[in-house]
Amino acid sequence: MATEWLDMPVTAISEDDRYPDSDTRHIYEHLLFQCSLPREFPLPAIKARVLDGKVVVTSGHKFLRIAKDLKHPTIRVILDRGDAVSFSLPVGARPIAREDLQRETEVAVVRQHQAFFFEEPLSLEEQKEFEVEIGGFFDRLRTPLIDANQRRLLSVSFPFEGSCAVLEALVPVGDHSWPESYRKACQRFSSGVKKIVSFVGARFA
Amino acid sequence: MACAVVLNNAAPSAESVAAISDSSQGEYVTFYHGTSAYMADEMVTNQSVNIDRLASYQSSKSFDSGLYMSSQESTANYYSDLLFNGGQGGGPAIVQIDVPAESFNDFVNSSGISVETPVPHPPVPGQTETFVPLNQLNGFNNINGIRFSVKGN
Repeated sequence: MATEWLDMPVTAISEDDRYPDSDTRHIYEHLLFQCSLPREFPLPAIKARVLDGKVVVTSGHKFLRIAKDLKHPTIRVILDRGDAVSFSLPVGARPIAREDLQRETEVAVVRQHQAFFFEEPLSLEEQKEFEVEIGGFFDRLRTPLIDANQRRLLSVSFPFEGSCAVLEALVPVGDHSWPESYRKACQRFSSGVKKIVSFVGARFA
Repeated sequence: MACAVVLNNAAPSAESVAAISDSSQGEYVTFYHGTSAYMADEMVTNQSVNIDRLASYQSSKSFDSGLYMSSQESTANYYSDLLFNGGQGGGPAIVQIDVPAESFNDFVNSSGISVETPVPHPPVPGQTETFVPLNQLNGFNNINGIRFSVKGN
């Protein structure tokens, strides 16, 4: 049976010891902060299955906890009913049209917030360097998806007394020619200026 | 979209994936593709890359069209995080693609695609990529024994 895409009340989804959180890539507090920033789309979908008559998360535990912590009423769920074909969906669950998901994946430019966490706070000089080398990357980027004269970097801030940097930019997610260069710029900053611990909630390597 | 594929005999790195032995199919090579959860779900359900979607989506772009893959899971994670952390299409996801090594080598030889091309100015030493253009993806989909699965979170 094909998976179902649903928008489901977070209160209707539980965790179960038989499906523990195996995600060691994300740092919860960093991911929580990333997810608390303004966003154009819902939180990433979690995976779940029907177990003993309940909907149990099987992947994406941290996003479920974050949705609860941030008091999101619902979260996207990729549901595997398994053998429970007669299972009645929880009240408030509604299907997500595949056309909507497809349309989303074809969005070429996203207004995006990116949170970086560092091993130690950035000095004022290091913050300036971050603005130029990392934030400025998007203004220097040549892409057919954004007019060359359009400003891409919208804001940069350094919350948590400089232990974190948040940049807001128009990101050409439909152009896959530049991510490696961006990664290189971040790597250079991490090794030469201040170690980046996480990027958008995930451990940075 | 451009495409990058890495062979099992790529430059050694901590994450280079060795061929996996399978008694029924012989050795496999494993690649990772960073994408959205929706695209990953579709790829696994269909056990193939949706060429029509890729073609229509990329037709207006000036960069080369194809499919990105890497033997390095961290690279695929980085791509999917960077491009889909906003949550569009269900957010980031990784598709694991296991390809019978012998069949993949035949495909590479017949299609003439370049493999193990070093990533320009790689952030991590040893990164290589291979571009499989859009017009070769049908052959890629039809590699006997190719398997698509979603990698956990």
